[in-house]
Amino acid sequence: MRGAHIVSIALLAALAGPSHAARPPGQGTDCRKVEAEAYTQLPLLVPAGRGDRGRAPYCLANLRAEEAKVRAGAGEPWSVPVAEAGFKVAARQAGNYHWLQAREETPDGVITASTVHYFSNPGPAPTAMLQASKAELEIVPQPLPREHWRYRADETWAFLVRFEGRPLPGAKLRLETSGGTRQVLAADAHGVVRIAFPADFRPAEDDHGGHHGREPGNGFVLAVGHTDEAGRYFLTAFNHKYGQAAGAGRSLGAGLGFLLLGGLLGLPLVLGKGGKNHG
Amino acid sequence: MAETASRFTLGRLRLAVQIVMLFVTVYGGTLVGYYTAEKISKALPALSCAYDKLDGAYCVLIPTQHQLHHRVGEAIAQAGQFALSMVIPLAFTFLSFYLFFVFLNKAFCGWICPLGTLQDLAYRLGRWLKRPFRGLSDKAVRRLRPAKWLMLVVLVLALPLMAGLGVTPHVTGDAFCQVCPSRVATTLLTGDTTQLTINQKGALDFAFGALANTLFGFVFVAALAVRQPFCRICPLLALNAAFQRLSPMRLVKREHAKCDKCGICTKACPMDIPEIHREHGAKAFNEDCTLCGRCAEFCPDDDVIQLKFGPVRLFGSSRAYYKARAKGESPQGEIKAVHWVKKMESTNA
Repeated sequence: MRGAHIVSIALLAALAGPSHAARPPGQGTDCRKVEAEAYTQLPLLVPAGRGDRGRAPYCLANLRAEEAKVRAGAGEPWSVPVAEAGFKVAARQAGNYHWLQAREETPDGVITASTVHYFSNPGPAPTAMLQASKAELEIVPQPLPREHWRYRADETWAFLVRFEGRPLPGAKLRLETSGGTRQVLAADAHGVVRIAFPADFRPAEDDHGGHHGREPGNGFVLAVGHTDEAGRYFLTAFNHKYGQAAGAGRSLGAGLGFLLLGGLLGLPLVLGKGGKNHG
Repeated sequence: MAETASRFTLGRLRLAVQIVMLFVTVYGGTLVGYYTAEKISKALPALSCAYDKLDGAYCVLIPTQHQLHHRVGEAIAQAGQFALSMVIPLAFTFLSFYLFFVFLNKAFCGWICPLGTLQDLAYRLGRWLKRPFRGLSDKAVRRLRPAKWLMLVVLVLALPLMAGLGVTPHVTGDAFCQVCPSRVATTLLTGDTTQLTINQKGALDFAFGALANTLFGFVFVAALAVRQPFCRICPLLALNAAFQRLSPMRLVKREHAKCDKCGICTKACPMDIPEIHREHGAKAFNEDCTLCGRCAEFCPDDDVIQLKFGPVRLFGSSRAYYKARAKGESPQGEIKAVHWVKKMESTNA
């Protein structure tokens, strides 16, 4: 039965397929092109350009929706119109994490795509935002990376799968990354799945080029399907990006070497008898 | 009074606070909530590192450098002009910094800073290992003083601003963090060796990493013999010193005839400040003071040195307290074995 669900995830995603013709959401980005170049057929909310501290453009890929919902902190969600497969999210007064979600209802079921966007302005902690029920079937990060962190290769992060507010033990999830990884994972008895992000960066991307989250990142999408007692099928996906492993391109040996050098420079102070005090 | 002082000392209270705050600043995120550190305490006037994933607080230098880099510098570079709106976030950072700071003033350095505590513990280890005491001469102390202001101006203010303007590379956007020993020390305490590694993908990244690790190695070996070696050049001490006259929390010293021939206060001072011995009034509360209170503990005369919050006397020197305190520990921090032997004998009797 669960195996059938996994297959149906792929099928439903394929049915959702490339959406209608699309033009830029305001930043010169062609959302149709974004969708055509997507690394997966699962539904995605894709950043369409960098945005700024108060606004960020997004494209929908692999699902159709007329509006997107935005939620921040403990406040009520608000709607943003989708135009030409794109939408712009604007922070309302406060910054920090915003939950973005688009929803498509088809005769086959309900598809939701979710992601989070971080505005570099002060704002409420995302605890209430994550706890709030935002769809029937949800994948909830447990927790989100803090301001100075991000998902990284070789790190393990937890996600909670819940249906109608309750954990979904044993749910089978599909992980797809822009680096080419395809995995099926199972949630534990508490509905939690732990993902070790793969180091599947291509050689061309194998360059930090900076720090503080500015380095290139791979995209990932985590999806799960579920059929309720009435036979209605739900597919939900959470997508974001992850960076290279924290130690990529770094040398622990060199670090220890310079640490030792510093220690040796300080050694004369520690050896021998006491020096002159308070001359 | 002497018996009371032997059981409860300001030094023991400070050590207890330091240990608690070390756990809060290094692992506190697990106590106060995962997201709390970045919500309430970006203005903490102590080196609690944002590179530490478990911390319960952030150092004020993080937002200061980021705002100069990403807001002020980049905005000027893009718009070609300066606007008040660019510096408002920076003003709020300093405002919130001061809201924390007003209560404890530079006691953040002497009582809360995790790097200060780790250096303090290293020095105690040095006493236990019988390592020599290396006090700094008046001349050396005075020569070192400009270094912390230079660190503040160059690494915390100028380089991040220039990175935002596009003049210097991106890595200089948080130049001080790149060389800060607290970044390496506090992340190591969480079992994370990432900050000990050196980025090999750029000459400047490598140079920053090499400098940081050399400084880290030097500081922790030197701290076995020298009290608070990094504090003497710490830009946060300079930032705190810039505001120290604005807080009601302060060190007060009145003129006393015996001071000229004594000088135990300077021997007890972990920053070797000569002014606490030679000056009085406002001059005695020097820019290097971390409000640790050791000078007041080791002053042998009543109420010559006090820690005060506004008109309230929090702690004042007293002859009886000094006699009891000096029995157990020398002003330089050497534990007196004789005291412990006597104590054990009296307990056995």
